[in-house]
Amino acid sequence: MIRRVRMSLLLLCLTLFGFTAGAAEPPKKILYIDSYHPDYLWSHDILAGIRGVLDSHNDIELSVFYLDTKRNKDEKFIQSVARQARQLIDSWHPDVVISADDNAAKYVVAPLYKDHPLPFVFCGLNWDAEAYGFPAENVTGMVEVCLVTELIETLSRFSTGSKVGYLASNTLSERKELENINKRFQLDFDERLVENFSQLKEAFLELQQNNDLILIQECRSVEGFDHEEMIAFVKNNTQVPTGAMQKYLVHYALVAFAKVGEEQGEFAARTALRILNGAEPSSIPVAENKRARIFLNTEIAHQLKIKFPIDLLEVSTFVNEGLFK
Amino acid sequence: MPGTLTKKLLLLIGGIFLLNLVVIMLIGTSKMSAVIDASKSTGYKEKLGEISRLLEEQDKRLRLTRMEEAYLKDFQTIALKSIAATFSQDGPELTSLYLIDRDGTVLFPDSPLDLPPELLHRILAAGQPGQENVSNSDGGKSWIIYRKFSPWNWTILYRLPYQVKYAALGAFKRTVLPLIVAVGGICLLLLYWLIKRQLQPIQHLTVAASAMAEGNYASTLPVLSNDEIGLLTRAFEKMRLKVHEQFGELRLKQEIFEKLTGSAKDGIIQLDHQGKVVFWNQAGTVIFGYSREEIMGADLYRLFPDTAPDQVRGLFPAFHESGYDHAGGGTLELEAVHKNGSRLFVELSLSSFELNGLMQSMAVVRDVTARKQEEERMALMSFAMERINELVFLVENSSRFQYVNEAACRALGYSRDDLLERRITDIDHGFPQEKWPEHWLELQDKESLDFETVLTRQDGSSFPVSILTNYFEFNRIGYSFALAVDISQQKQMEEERLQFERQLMQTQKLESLGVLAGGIAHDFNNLLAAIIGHSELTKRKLSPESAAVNNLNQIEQAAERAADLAKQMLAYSGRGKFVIEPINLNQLLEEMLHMLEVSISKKAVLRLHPYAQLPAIEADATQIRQVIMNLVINASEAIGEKSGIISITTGCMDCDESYLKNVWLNENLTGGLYVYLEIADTGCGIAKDILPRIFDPFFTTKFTGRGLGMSAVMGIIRGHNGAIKVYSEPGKGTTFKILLPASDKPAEIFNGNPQDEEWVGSGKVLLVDDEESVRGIGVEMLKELGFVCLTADNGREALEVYRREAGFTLVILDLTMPKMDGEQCFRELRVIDPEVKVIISSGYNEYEVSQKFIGKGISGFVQKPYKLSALRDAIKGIVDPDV
Repeated sequence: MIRRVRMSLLLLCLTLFGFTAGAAEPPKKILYIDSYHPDYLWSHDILAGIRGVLDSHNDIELSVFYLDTKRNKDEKFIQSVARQARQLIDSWHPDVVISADDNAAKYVVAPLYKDHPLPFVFCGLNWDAEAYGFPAENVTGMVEVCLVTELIETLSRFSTGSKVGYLASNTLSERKELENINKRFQLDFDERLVENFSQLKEAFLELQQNNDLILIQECRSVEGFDHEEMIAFVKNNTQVPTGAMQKYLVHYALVAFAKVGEEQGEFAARTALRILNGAEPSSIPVAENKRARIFLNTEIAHQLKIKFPIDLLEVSTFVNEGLFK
Repeated sequence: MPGTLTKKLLLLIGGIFLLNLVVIMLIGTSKMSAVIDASKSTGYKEKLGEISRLLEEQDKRLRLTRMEEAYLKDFQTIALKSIAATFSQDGPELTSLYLIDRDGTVLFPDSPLDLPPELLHRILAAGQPGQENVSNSDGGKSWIIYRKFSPWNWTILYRLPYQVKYAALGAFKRTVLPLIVAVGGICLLLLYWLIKRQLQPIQHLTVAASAMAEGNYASTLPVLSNDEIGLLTRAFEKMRLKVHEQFGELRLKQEIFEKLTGSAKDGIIQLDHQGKVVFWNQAGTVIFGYSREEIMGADLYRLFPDTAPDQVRGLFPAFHESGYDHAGGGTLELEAVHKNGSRLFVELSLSSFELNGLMQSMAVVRDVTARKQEEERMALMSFAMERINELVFLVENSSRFQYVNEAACRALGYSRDDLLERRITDIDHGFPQEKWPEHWLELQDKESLDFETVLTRQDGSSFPVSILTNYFEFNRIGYSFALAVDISQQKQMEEERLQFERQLMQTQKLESLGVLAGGIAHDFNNLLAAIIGHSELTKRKLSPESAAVNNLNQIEQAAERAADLAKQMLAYSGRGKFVIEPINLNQLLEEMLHMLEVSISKKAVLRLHPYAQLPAIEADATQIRQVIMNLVINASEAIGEKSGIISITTGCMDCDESYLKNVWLNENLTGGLYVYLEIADTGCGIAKDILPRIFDPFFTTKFTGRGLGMSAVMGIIRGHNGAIKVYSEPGKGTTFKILLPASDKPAEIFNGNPQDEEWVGSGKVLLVDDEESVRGIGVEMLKELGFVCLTADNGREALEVYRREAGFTLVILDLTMPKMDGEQCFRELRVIDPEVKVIISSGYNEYEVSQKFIGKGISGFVQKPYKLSALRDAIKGIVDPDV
C-alpha cells in the first residue's frame, strides 16, 4: 500500500514536471511593424484584425512597433526608426515579423531581412509586392488592392452612362495608385490629379460634366483641403453618382467601397501562425484583399434623387449613421 | 451486497440522495419556474427591446433617407428580414415571435396568431409592454409578452407555449434528473466502492470478528491504510492477537478446567446466587447419579433431603451474602441421597466468589463414604490402639519413635511429644545405640522378633516388657512396629508362681514331710506317751531308792529326747506343740542369754541389741526359744574357730506386702507391724548355690547335724505366720531376720508358774482315742487326777457312751480316729449337750486344732504325748478355772 502510494506520488510528480516543463517553453513572439502611427485609422484596423486572430492564442506574444512614417516623412527619421526596428528584432528575437504597408517593407523587410532565416509576413502593400522582391524565401503576405470594378458596377446602377472620371491628389502614391489601377483593370478614366483644394473642386465639377460617374481617390492631402467645406461642396455640387474606395472619403461620394484593414491584419496573423506551425513562407502564396465596406451617402442621394435599392441598403451603411458604427 | 453496514450506509446515503433529489427537484422546479419566469420575462423583454431597437435603427435609417414614404416598405422589409435573420437561430421560439401591425395583421411570421380577439385587441391597444398567460386552442397554455413599436405602430409579441417557456425546466427534468440519477448512481457506485473500500478493513474486521466469534483467531488482518480505520484495524489486529493469545490461554485454561473438572474425582458444583446448580461436573454425576441435564437449575438441597435440611439451607443465605460462614471456611460432612436412593456420605466444601455482581458458590463434593468407613475403621483402630494396655511403638530405622500409644506414654511416664523425640535406646538402657543397626538388620531379615527387655521410665524406674516387633516398609521406608507388654506383673506373677511353686513344693515337701513327720511323731508320741507314762507310774510305784528308778529316769530321758526329736519333726511340719501366748521377745532373750552364751563357741562374742519399745508377739515361747537356739548355734558354728561376733537384734517395722514378697515362707502374709529378730554373725557365710537349700530337711553342712535345725526354724516361723529373710555373703557373714506379726495384746509375764502337782479333781471323764496305749495311760493319769474315766475308741462309740452315761465332767477327744473323727464327734456332742466341755487331744499343735474348731466351743487342748502335768493343767483350766 505504501509502495503504491509512493509510486503514485512519483508519477504525479513526473507528470507535473513534464507539464511544467512543457509550459516552461517561451511563447512564440510575433513582432508587428506598422509603417504609420497608432491613431491612423488604417493602422488601427490592421492591428484590430491581427489582435482578433491572435487574442485567442495564449502562447503568442505580440509586440507592436510603429515606424510613424505617415507623420514623419523625413528620410533620416525613417532610416532611424528602421534601425530601431532592427535593433528590436535583434534584441527581442521574434519568431515571425508582420509588416504593414509599404514603408516597413521598403525600409526594414526588404533591405534587412529578405532571405533571412527570420520569416516575414507583409500586408497593406499597395497592389504589388514584387517592387520589394516579394515573395521571397522568408517573406509572403497580402497586397492591398482597390475594388474598382465592384464600385463602378454599383455606381452604374444609378448612372446614365459608363464614362468614369478619376479624381485624386497629385502625389506619388496616388500616381502609383492610378498606375496600378490602370495596369490592373486597363480602364479608360478621365483622370484629374490635383495639387490643391481649388483644383480639387474645380476638377470635381469638371469631371461631372464629362463623365457619368466619378471615382474619388485620396484628395485630402491637397493643399488647402477643408473637410467640411468639401462635404458641403459635394452635397451641393454632386450631379452624377460618385464613388470612393477609402473610408475617409465616404463623406465626399455617393457610394464608397472602403477597403477593410481588418482583412489585412487577419490574413497576416493567420499566415504568421501557419509559419509558426511549421509552414514555410515560400509555400504560402501572396494574397489580395476581397472584402469591402459599403457606405451610402443619403445626403448626396437625396441631392441626386437616387433611391438605393433594397439589396444595397441591406449591405451598406449610411454615411450619416457614423463611420464607425 | 456483502456487508450489512455497507448496505445500510448505501441505503442511507441512497435514501438521503433520493430525498435530496425529490426536495431538490421540488424546490428546484419551483425556484426554477420562478427563475424561468423572471428570466424569460427579462430575456424576452430584452429581445423585445432588441427587436424594437432593430426597428428603431431601420426607422432611423429610414428617416436619414429623408424619403420615408419611399423607403418605408424597404426598411420594413429589411427590418423583417433582419429580424428573421437575427432571430432565425432562436429555433422553435422563432415561431413564437409575432410582429403585428395596427390592424392585427401578422407581419411576421406567416402563420396566424391564435389569440382570442379581445385579448389581441387589448394588446394592440395597449401602449405599454405587458405579459399575459393564455390558453391555447389545443388546451395547452401559453405565455405571451408584447411591446409596441410606436413609429410603425407595430406590436412585437412573443408567444411561448408553456412547454417552450418551461422547456428548460422540462429539459432540466429530463436532463438533470437522469443526470442526477446517473450521477447519483455513479456516486452511489462510487460510494459503494468507496464505502466498500473504506469498509473493507471493517469487513475484514467483521470477518475476523465473525471468525473470532466462531473461534477462529488465526486469520491475519491486513492493515490497508493509515487512517482511523487503519488504526482501528491495527488496534483490532493487536486486539485479535491479544484475544487470540488470551483465547488460546483461555482455551487452554478451559481445556485444563474441563479436564480438571472432568477428571476430578470430586464433584464440583457451581451454584448461583439462589443456590441453583449452574455447573455440574462428571464426578457429580458419578457421586449422585444425576446427569448434568437433570440437575441443572435444581436446588442443591435435593441432594441432601434428609441430612438436616434446615441446617443445610441455613448455610447458604448468609454465605451468599457475606461469602463467609462456617460453611465457607470449612468442610461439612453431610449425608446425601443418590439418585437411586442409596445413602452416601459426602464432604462438602463451600467457597464463594462474585460473578457479575452476584455471589456465586462453588461446592466441592467428595464421596467420603468409603473414606468415612475407612476412617471409622481407622478411628476404631486408633482408638483401640490408644486403648489397649500393650505398649505400641512405631520406630523408624534410626531407632526414633514415629508413633507411641497412650499406654506407652503412660507406662513410660513421658508425654507423647517428649517420647516422639526420643529413640528406643533412650528407654531401653540395656540396648545400646551401637547395637541398633545389628538389631535392625536382624529384624529386616527375620521380619519379626520376639524378645524381652527392660524399659526405663522417665523417673528412672524400669519394668520388664515382652516385645513382639514386626518389620514392614511403607512408602519404601522401613518401620518397626513393636507391641510391648508390661510383664512386670507377669514377671512378678512368674516369680510369685515360682515362689509359689517353690513354696508349694516346699509346702508340699513340708506337708509330705510334715505328714510323714507328723505321722511318725504321732505314732512316736503315742509310743512315747506310753513309755513315759508307764515310766512315771512305775517310779510312783517304786521307792525312790530303788535302783530301777535310775533306769526309769534314763528311760524317761531317752523318751524325752525322742519326744524332742518328734517335736522337732512336728515343728518342721508345723504341727509341733504350739502354745500361743503374747510374749516379749526381749524378755525371752534375756532369759536365754546365759544358756546361749554357754552354747556358743568361746571365740564368739554374743551381743544383744534389744529394742526397748518392742511390741509383744503371739507365739509359742518354747518354739521361739528353739528358733533362737538353733540360729545362734548355727552362727557360732559358722564363726567356727575364728573370732567373731554374733549380734542379736530385735525391733519392729512396718512391712508392706511387697517387702514381704521377698522373704522365705511368704504364705499370704499381710502387711502390718512386725517384730523382727535379727541374728547376724561374722562367720563364713553361705554359698549362694546352697542358700536355697538351707531350709531343706536333712540338709546339713555339718558332720554331726541331723539336718533338721533350719527346717524346724522354718517350720516354727511358718507356724507363727512369720517370715525369714536371709542375707549372706560368703566370707563375711550371714544375717537371719525373723519377722513375726506384732500383737496388739500386752505380753504376758513369762514366769513359768510352779506346777500345782497336788491338784486333784473329781467327776466323770470320757477319754476318746483310737490308740489303746493312749487310752490306757490316759485312764491311769485321770485316775491319778481323781476322775472316773470311761473310754471310747472312735467318735461313734464316744457318742453312744456319752448318751448312755450322763454326767460327764468333760470329754478328752482325739481328732484322728476311724469311723468318726474327733471333729464330727465334737459337733455331735454339741448337739447332744451344748454345754459339753471337750479337750482336744492331738499330735497336731493347738493352732491347727483351734483353726478347725474356732468358734465351735472347745474347752482346751492337750498335745500328745502329754505328761500328767500337762493333762492336769488342761483339765484344771476347765474344771477349776479360778485356781
